[in-house]
Amino acid sequence: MNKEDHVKVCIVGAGKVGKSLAAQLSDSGYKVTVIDTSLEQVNNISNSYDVICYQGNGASTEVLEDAGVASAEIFIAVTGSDELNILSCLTAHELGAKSTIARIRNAEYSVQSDFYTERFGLTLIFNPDYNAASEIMRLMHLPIATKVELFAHGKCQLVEMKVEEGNSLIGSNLIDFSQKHNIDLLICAIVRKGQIMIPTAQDVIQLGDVLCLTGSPASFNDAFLKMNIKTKRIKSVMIAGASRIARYLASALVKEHVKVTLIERDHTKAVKIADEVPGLSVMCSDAMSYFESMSDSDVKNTDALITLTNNDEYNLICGMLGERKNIYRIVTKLNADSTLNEMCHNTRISSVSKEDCAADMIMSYAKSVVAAEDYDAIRALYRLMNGKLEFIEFKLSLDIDPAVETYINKPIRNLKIKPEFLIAGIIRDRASIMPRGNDEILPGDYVIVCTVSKSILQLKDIFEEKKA
Amino acid sequence: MNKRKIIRTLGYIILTLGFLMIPSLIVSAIYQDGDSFEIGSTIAGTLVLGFLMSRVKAPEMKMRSRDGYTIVALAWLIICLIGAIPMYLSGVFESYIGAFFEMVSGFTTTGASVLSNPEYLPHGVGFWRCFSHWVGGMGVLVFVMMVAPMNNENSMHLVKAEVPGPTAGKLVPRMKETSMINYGIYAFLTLMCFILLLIGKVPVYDALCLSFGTAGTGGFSPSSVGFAAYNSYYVEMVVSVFMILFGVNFNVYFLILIKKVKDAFRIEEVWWYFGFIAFSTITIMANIMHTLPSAGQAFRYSFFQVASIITTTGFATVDFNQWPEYSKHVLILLMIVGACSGSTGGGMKVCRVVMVVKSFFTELKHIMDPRHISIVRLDGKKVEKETLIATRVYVCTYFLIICIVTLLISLNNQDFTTNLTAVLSCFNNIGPGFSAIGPMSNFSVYDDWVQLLLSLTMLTGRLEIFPMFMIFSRSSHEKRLSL
Repeated sequence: MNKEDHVKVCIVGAGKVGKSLAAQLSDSGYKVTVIDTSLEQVNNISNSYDVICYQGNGASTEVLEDAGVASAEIFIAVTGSDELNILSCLTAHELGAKSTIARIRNAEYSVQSDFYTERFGLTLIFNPDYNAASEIMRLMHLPIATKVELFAHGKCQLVEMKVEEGNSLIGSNLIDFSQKHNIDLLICAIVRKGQIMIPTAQDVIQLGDVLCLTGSPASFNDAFLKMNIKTKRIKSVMIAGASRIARYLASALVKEHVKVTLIERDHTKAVKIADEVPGLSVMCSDAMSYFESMSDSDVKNTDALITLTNNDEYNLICGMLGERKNIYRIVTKLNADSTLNEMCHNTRISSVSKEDCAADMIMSYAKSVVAAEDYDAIRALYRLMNGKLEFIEFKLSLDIDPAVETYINKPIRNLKIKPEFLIAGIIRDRASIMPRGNDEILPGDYVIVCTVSKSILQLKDIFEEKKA
Repeated sequence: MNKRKIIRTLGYIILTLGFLMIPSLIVSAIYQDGDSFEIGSTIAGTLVLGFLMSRVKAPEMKMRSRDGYTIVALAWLIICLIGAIPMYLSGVFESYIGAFFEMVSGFTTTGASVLSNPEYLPHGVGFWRCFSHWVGGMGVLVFVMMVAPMNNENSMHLVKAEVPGPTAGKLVPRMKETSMINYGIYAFLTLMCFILLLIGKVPVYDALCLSFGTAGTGGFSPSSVGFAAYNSYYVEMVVSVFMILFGVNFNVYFLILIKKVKDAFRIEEVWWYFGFIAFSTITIMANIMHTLPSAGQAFRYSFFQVASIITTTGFATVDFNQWPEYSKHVLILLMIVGACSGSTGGGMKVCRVVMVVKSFFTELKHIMDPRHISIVRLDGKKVEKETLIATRVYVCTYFLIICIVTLLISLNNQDFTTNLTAVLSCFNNIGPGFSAIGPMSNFSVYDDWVQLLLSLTMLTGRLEIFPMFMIFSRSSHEKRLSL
């Protein structure tokens, strides 16, 4: 019996995020209860997934008691209304739910998330728009990458990048990568022709490969220099659509003195965002037609195009137009389950999805709740390539017993690791170490494991079973 | 609104005016130079009139914005008419219109005079002349609201009409308390100024008059000799600094008072105000340096004059009529700019200038690309479209009125500089102008009808144009106004 089976999760709100969470959590073996006011949504979910559904208001004690919130381990409120989410979490907290998670989208509320966690007893507040904006920000800092993630409070960075023509790495194997090119990064996965693989030392890097690299955030620029890749600082950005993500993103970019132009069709929205973000240049126009009207030199001076309207198709088409016009960096907001994601492969368009950000965060939290009693709890989980590749961050406790956990204090080269796993990084004393053969795992470390298989909860699961 | 209600409200105002004249009676009693009877009888008459008017039974009715404006305009006219009575009775003025001009000049904190020798005024009347600056600076209605047992529900309309600046706000939920806080700050600063002047060995009566003139940013001096009588660097510096302090938006002091110093420093208008002062002082200093023995002297004169003109006080330590053209032009521009909104100063107000300049740049951007959305910000916050439109209309009307009045008084056959600066000076509540009405001369060069017109100009300027026109606008004479 899996550990997840004991964990009861209650989700209020069966919208996009609620649905995708219900699916993923129930797939992983959690006992999921979904509450929503709409009967149609409730039926839809209970027909598609192995979960139990209640129709009703998620803030009503009666409904919550019916749904058995008192015994729930995790309570997640993801309805469309922030106020309802907070109220539901408060009610569930009082009724006995162990941990409560609320989605808050209103910027005025989300800035005071510490207040909610400290005073109201909420466990976690997440703002998918803000998370998505941070992800785009990371891409802007490292424009060569198609995806950038931070681990372990920013100590370790994961970068997904495509090997393009002129890259000096082509033809070298992974041993050359670290020894000949002297690059302090680790290749933890290679995507070749749509297939993800965990590389062995002998694998050779080819043109068109997508590499997943980990390392400390500072080491990347140096590494790119050695790889003969010209990185360009993003100085001028164009954003289409005045969505919430755009607001967070624009204010972050303006703070870094990037020239930002935002195009929004709706006049009221345009005025609103111009008011909220000082220093932002706002155009009231259709993004596509604005694009058409731009002079060649204006296009040339635009380093990045970010399409964030509510319409996925529009975002993608707009991004494609940008690619056609040779804009250096293009980011598009797409829904997680959208088939449009396929269209982004083999282009320079990176896609970002709010739902992914939210689901990643909650899944990692759910996993850490399950593993909480173990020595090596999961602290965070990151997924790339539409969830096919996972990065899991484990925290080893200091009083771990080397006699029981045999992988402790041994050089990594002597450890037998299952082929679908790779130790992608070790964080010790707030610094990240690129794990080489001689490095050892010590108690108190954070260990980052890269995998294509999903079902592990403990670090020891990645090692070959010892023959007795 | 019901006429009875207007009469009732005016009654309270007149009653308050009567009480406000009592200090002058005391001064007159102390100096014993023969104006006690005039002042005393005016007070008695005013109190009786006010009492009778305030007894008028009025039905409870909502006060509308229009009523607020009408009451404010009428109240200012009436207090000036009544206040001029003891002045006229004292016999120093040739005509009642002259006394009325002097009184309007006092209450509107203009400080323009028709007297060549104000020291001939009996002390009681002289005190009343300067005290009117102090009352008018912060606003008569604001004062009345603080003391009178009036229904405060709709008093916001009155305050909006009287308090200078494009927007009027409350500091605390209750209007009465807001008035009290403002008057508290005002009285405290006045007291400080008075004490510092006493330390500078200014006689008590002069120190009182000067601190009233400084606090209200008025500009009446107790004597024609003016500051030359004290011949003190210290006194001039005290007065300069306090003039500047009274020209600052009073919200700054309130924010400092409630220990929100950071917010106080965020008020953009005040920075522009200090910027204007610094720029003008330095350039004028450089411009007049060659005529003076030392740089210190140049700074003394330029700083005092810049402070006096930008705050629309109108004190003079030197005949700036004799200054080089550049300096005079800077002073004329400062006359138009004026002090901060929410201060005791007049003029167009710094924040209006800033807003107009900023909206010019947004318009420029808009013309370059009509799709460009640009926003006028003040203190980092968006300025509402309505405020912007109102500001633009105000500024246009402002210049229109200056043109029309200048044209009208040209019939009196003075030269252009005199006429223009007379209008600028009265409309912005400053006091002296240039040429024939320079700091060493006075408005007696004009005929009575011009003095009357300029009196109305001063009131229009002090009440920021709209209330004065509200009296004459047709809609306030609707049938339902009849008794």
